[in-house]
Amino acid sequence: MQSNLCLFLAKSVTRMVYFKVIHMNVLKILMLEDEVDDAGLIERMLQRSGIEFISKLVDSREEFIEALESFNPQIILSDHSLPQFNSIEGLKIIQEKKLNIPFILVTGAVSEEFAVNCLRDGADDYILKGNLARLPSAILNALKRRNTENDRHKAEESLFNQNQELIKINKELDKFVYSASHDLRAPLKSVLGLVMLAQYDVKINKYESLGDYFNMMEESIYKLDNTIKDIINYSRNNRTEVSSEKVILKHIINESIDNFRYLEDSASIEKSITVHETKPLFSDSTRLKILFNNIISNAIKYRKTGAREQSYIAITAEVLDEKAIIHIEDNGIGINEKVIQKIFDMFYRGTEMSQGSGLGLYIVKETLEKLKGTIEVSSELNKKTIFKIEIPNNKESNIEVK
Amino acid sequence: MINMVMLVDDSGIDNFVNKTMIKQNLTDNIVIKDTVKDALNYLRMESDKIQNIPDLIFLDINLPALSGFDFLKEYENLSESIKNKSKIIVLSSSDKPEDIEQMMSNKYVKDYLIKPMSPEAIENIKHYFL
Repeated sequence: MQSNLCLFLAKSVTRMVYFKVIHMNVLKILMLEDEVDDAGLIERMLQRSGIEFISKLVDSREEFIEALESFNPQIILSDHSLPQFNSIEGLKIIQEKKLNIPFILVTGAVSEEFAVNCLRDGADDYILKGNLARLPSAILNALKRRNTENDRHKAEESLFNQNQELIKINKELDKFVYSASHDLRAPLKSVLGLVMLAQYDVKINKYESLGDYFNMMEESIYKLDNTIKDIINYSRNNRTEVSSEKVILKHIINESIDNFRYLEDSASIEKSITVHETKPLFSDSTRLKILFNNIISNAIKYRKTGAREQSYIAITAEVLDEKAIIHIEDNGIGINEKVIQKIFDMFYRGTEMSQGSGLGLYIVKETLEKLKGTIEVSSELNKKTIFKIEIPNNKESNIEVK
Repeated sequence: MINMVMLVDDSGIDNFVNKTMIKQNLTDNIVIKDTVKDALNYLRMESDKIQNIPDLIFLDINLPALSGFDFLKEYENLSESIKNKSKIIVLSSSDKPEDIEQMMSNKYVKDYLIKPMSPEAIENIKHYFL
């Protein structure tokens, strides 16, 4: 049993090429061959052709398997029949180990049938020892073909993964479309019912209820409009790039509170806003507005009604170098601990008081994901709810400024 | 005879529309519950006074917290006197085939109406029950 390891370098290459060759193109050849002389012939042929290579010679099953692991060959040149081993078994081992290594038979005279069978079983090529001149090009072709196959496999795999991702997105989209369309249709159905009542009243010359009907229609239409706004916010958050501009947090919070001044009972709620903004905050102002609008509107909607204590919303914010920390506290109805895990879910409505789409806090969660921020909630039923939000300060980041 | 009707729906406007139509076409005796929990509590509380048990329950599906489906699960456990008297009609804005199929396969659900309620729908109910 013989095994020899030698490095052949063509003498004609320049130093530059030599480096390149050493790092990229030295081919590791495993030779399964029991005739040392034949191995020598093969090596000389390759040397003459200019292929840079290291070769390892083995002639038994054990050596072959060992070399596959320790030598890590890029191509295998195999004689057909050895005293204790043969090329067909060698090929089988390669396939069982799922190794993607080209396998070329280099043999004495064989029948055409045998050669065809070898190719069918997965060999890349066969070369007769009497015609070694063809070996260099056979090696290069086999390597090239395997490379192309590898690229194709990779492309197929990536296509498959993309496909799976698309199937998942499509399923989510179906669910979204169903739930959204329900939320869009419910207020329309309400309006339709009111129209029917109005038509009936008009037919019997009864007019005193029409004003009420119009008020309720208006309410339904606003509800529908709010659901559409939620869906647009959701979709915009998904589609638009995160921007980073200098924002004044106090202004954004005040603007958001101001948005709800017409909301029922909003004026009677005590609001305190404390912002420590000694450092500038760089973030996405559109997304920040969406965050505050959703959380503040919840604090107003889910205040305690008819309670003796004064309702309040207390917002404190601090801008640091690396992040802004915001607390939004209210003394409203609170969140049941059984449902607090679900409040950020799509279309989840956590309280029987909810008249909304169940999208608000889902949008908050999705928006914070885009901003790479975090949100935590703690709540005591009928006492208070506190949302703690952290938003990274993108001061040093290279996010494109709009 | 339909002497009493219960509406289980969280939409104040839909409850108003349905109440008005039922008053015009069916009965004045209407009890409105805007959560499944309240509706079930009412039925349990009144189970001894059969005259306070509705002949018809209009049940919405999509309610916050407990849904129409949750109502039916609990309804199963109510006393036989309630279940013998009350007929349940689903009244929802959903026309999703899965919702209709699942609701109609429940033995207590007698019909499925898609909102809005109409005088024609009430006429059909009258014919069916009288």
